[in-house]
Amino acid sequence: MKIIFYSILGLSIIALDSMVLKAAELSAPASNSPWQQSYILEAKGEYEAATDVLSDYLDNTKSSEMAWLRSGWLHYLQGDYNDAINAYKTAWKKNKYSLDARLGLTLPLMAQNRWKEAARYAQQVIDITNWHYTANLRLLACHQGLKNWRDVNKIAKRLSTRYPSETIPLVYLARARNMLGDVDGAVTAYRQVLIREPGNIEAGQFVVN
Amino acid sequence: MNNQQKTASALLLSTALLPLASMAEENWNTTINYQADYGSYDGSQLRDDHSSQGIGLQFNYLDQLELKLYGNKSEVSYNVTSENLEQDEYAARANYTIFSDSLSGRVGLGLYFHTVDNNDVTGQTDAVDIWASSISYSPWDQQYKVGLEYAQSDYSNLSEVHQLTTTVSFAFNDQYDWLNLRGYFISPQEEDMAELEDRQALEVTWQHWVQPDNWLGLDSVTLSAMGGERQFAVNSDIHLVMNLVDVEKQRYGAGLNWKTANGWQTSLGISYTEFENESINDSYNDQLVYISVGKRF
Repeated sequence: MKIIFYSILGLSIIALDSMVLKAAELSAPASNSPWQQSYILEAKGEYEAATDVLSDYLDNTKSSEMAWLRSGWLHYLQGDYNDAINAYKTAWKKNKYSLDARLGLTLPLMAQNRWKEAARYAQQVIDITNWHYTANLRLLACHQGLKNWRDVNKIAKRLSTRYPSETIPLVYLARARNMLGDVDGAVTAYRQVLIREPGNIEAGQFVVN
Repeated sequence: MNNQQKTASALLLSTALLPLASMAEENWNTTINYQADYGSYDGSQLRDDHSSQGIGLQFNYLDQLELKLYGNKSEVSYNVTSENLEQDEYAARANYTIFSDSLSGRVGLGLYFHTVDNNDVTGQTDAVDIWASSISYSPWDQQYKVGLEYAQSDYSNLSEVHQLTTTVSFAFNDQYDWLNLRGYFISPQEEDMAELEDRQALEVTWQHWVQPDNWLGLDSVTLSAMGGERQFAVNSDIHLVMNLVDVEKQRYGAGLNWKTANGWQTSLGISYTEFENESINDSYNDQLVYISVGKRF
């Protein structure tokens, strides 16, 4: 009996130890992981610290791609747009097929009002995958920045046809129609916006006026 | 064309060919432009009319680099028995933009060269070389722009002229209007001639972008006015060198601008300028019309 008891006790202790070790494995490395720390710091708005904890991963190896992408994003959040551009370009060099890097590049460029350059990268993504929603939205923002209202009208119309439940393409469509002098068309588009998003301030104000 | 100008032309041509090597790159844009103007002098004792034609080439690397080359041939005819004045001008401009996160905006650095060759019998307005350097700043949202330019004009048979140009521009009406105030502070080095003295002028230009698909198909309209006095003024933005001893007293102008989606750009404009030749007490005006047609590739 004693043997059986000690055996069960021993197994229980081993099992308990194993569970404690398992729990430790699950929590300790995760909470200590620079990646985890970076995400936590980003959530707290500490973007510089969130970048710094990944500094060891920012090297020339192929595996550093994700670190460069994240560095680009965090620099963008800090308003370090030139550093963000350089980080996204480095990530792109690691993976020439990366759509993330191209789309990432559009963010700091748009923040610097470099519409033509940002439009170029958005267009590259669209050339690869025609109806990429985010790329088309970024292209719309660029053409709006350049006051190319005919292009905004054309792209927004096509995009809203492909994504009929989405609000933003319809907002761009309404703006473009208004700028092109088609006020009735703008009202129609803004009414469509209000169906999808009844609280949309821009659409509500336009339709009332 | 003298040796110096041959060198300048060769320099301009070689600069022109530089971006062609990279033209396959989609980052470069090229714009070619032709412009012509005709002006009639009213009330002048000496001058009858003038005309000019010019060709411009512009290369843009995204928003970062801009290279401009310009050549112009003009002629002035006189009321008195005199050979027409024939003038050749060549100009080059380079602008480089720094995107500065620490200043939260764009810093523009510019370098400009302009050379003038004519058959002026007095020689006063002939063999003129102008160098100008500029710096400007505008925030990311480009709601305003401030700039400073220093130009040194070397009238080899007359005087050196120093010019400081200050520019303040700002947008309003959701950036559909742009108001530009340009102050000219001109100071000739030679002070022995009575006609040469320090002059100041203020030029105001208002540009309004109209709604697309308007009945005239316009892109924008421009109105401008200048008050004060300008003599030997340089406006490097439009390759303008007023190589006249006569003093420009006031100027009013208006222009209509068109742009098409396939890159064509056209401008039509008129201007009225009052001049005074102080040495013979001759006040007159110049009524000018111009056209400019360009294509962006």
